[in-house]
Amino acid sequence: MTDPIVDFFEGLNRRRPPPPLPGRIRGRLRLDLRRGDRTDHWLVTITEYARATTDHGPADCVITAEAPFFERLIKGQESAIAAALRNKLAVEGDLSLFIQFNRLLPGPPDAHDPRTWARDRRHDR
Amino acid sequence: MTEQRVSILDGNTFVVSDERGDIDPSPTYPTGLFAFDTRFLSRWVLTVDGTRLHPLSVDDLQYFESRFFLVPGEPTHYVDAKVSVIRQRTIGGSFDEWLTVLNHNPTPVEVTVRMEIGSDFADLFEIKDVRRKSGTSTATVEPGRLRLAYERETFRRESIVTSTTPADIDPHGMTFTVRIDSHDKWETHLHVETVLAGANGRDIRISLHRPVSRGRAQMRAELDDWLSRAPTLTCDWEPLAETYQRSLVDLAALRYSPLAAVTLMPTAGLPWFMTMFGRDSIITCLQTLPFTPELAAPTLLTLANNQGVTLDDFRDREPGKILHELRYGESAAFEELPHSPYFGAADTTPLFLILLDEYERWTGDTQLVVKLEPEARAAVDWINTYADLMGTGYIWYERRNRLTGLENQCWKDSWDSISYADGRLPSFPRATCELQGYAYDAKMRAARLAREVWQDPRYADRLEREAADLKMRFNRDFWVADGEYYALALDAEGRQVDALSSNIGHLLWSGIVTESRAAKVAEHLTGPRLFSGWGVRTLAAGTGRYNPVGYHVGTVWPFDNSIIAWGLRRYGFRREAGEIAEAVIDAARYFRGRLPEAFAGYDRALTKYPVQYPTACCPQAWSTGTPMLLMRILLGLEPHEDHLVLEPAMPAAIGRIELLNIPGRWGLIDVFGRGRLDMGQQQRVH
Repeated sequence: MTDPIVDFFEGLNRRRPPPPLPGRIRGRLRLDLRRGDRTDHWLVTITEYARATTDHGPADCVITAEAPFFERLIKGQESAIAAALRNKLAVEGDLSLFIQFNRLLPGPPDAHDPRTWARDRRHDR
Repeated sequence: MTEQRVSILDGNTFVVSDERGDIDPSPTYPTGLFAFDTRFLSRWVLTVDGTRLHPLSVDDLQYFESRFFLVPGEPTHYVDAKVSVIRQRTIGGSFDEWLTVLNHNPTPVEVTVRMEIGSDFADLFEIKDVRRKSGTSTATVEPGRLRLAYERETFRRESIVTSTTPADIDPHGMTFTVRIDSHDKWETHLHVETVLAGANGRDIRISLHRPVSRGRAQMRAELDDWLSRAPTLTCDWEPLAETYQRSLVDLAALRYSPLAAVTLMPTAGLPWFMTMFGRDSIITCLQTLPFTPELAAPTLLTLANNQGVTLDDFRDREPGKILHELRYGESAAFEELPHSPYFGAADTTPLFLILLDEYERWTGDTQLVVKLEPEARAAVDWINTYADLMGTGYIWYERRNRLTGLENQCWKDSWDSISYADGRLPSFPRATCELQGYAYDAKMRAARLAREVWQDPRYADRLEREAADLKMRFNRDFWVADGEYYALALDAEGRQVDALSSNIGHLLWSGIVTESRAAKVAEHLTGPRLFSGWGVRTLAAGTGRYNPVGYHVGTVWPFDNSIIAWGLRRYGFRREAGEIAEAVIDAARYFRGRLPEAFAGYDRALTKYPVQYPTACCPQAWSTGTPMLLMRILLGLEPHEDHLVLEPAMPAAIGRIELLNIPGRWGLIDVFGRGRLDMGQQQRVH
């Protein structure tokens, strides 16, 4: 069985052009993901791309979260910014890296394209 | 209960109290100490020997400090001032109050001074209707301090109150039993620290550009620095001089550091909008570019960093869209409201492109235009794809968040702002006219940037073709032939929403108006149905929903008028632009130079003075920026390549304007203008 968190970070490493990030904000962001007594570390280097390794090195921004919550985040079931405001994601350091990381997360899986949404609503009336 | 309110502020941290300096919960207006959309103090009441105090006077020293002179006793009692009290307070991230009790007796006195302290930690959105909080509040007495806290799951906010003089601290306040010698005084310094708990209990704001807490000296130095960098105005016309000074100071007060931003950008307005709004921030930057261009780059960068990349119904978000509103309170944190951030605005994305171009024209900062190319292209793509809900080549809006989203996603965002002339409300989606004007202007400006900075002439050509096509279709579909004006909007069936509104002035600003129709538009804007004498009404008198005290259906908004005057000037209607500029700046006289968000649409002949809209925000950023844009229009300031063109067209009553040290790509430049337009003749009715 595959681990969705491992899949997410490996997926970041496989992304090809166009660059998903504007590149003007660069730095290292570490995720400390707790599961029971264990903490997994992911170090993400942010440039135009995000490259993830399992290092536990120093970082400009550190995000701490429970692994099950992080799984919801990478499925688009939670908002990273709302979660940070309530400290469900504890974010420390350069918050602009966190905002860049947020751009790599998917939106809610059930979201609608506004064009189809508006058309369907009009047909319902 | 006194109605007078005193506010001091520093970006999105502010204190609102009564004129005694006390904070008592009010259901109608937010009083308290607020930071990042949370009330950190809801009770802050001073008594001497158990008696409330009576104000003798209040000094507004600076936007961040005020001083209250008080004596014990209620207003109805005979004032026997054997002792008096001075409260001096400062806000600069944290909140500081210096209490001084003076003994005027020939003998020593013993008094009990008490500060009642409490907090409901209400979210700004709960103030009008404070609900039962889901979390738990505690008040803990610790050595030398009182800690008030609110906790809900992992969400934690704290107020920590300390005093320099030892106090008897209990969960509801601090008591000082003091003996003061004859003609002597007693003092203490109370300090309130606000905490947004983040990782390991440390404050989320720890990495902010500015330190969380700044002292009075630093606040003063920052203000002096800000004022010294702004152009110096000398003029004959007192209302203009007064409102310019007031605006510069208020603009300084409204700057804040959003979390994760590099530097300072404007919030939208006190008390309800002390946060980042895409629309308000962009318009304020557009208005103030000739004076304080340093606000624009951080605004553009912050909005770009938060540009939408995925779809989200709750937040009305799409890829390429620029945000509407960001909030930091409990309701955003727990997703009870969508402000994390919310994207329900159809105009912010084209306005973002307009500001990017206008910024470069003034400053010559092509670096930023290069940096923001990906976001600018994504913004254009949004206009061409997600915004076109009906596939007709226009920007439309219809909220997907039907519970807490905004029905009207244009600047007139109240529910009843968009109506037919007879007052009926149209179906959704809606395409308001000014959105199409902004889209036209955005494409024309993006084309210039593509050609001159991004070195992509093919993209520039494409954008210009799209803009020309849009202009042609717009003039066919929106022009109300029998009324000779542009419709407020199109409804879902493509029919004209035919109310006459101030929005047509924005069309002039955007350039989407066919030359031959501009005179008619100008005539409507300065005609009796729209022009009140103090400015252009949001909705024309005589339409079904017109109400001179309706938020977006008849009031006069200073910011709206500044854009309209800009548009009139663009099409060569100098006299009409001058008339509006003169009226609005004249209105500022009645508010000590501080233009409110809106005033009532009553005819000037009826009220003699402008009536402030009842719950108007004050100061509000785009009202604050209004006098600056109006001055630019009067002087006819326009960047042209590497120099600044000056073409004054000012009513004679304004006299002489001298503006020194205008910053821009030319360095610093001085300009002079003299009022020569005789307004009297034009206004005569034949």
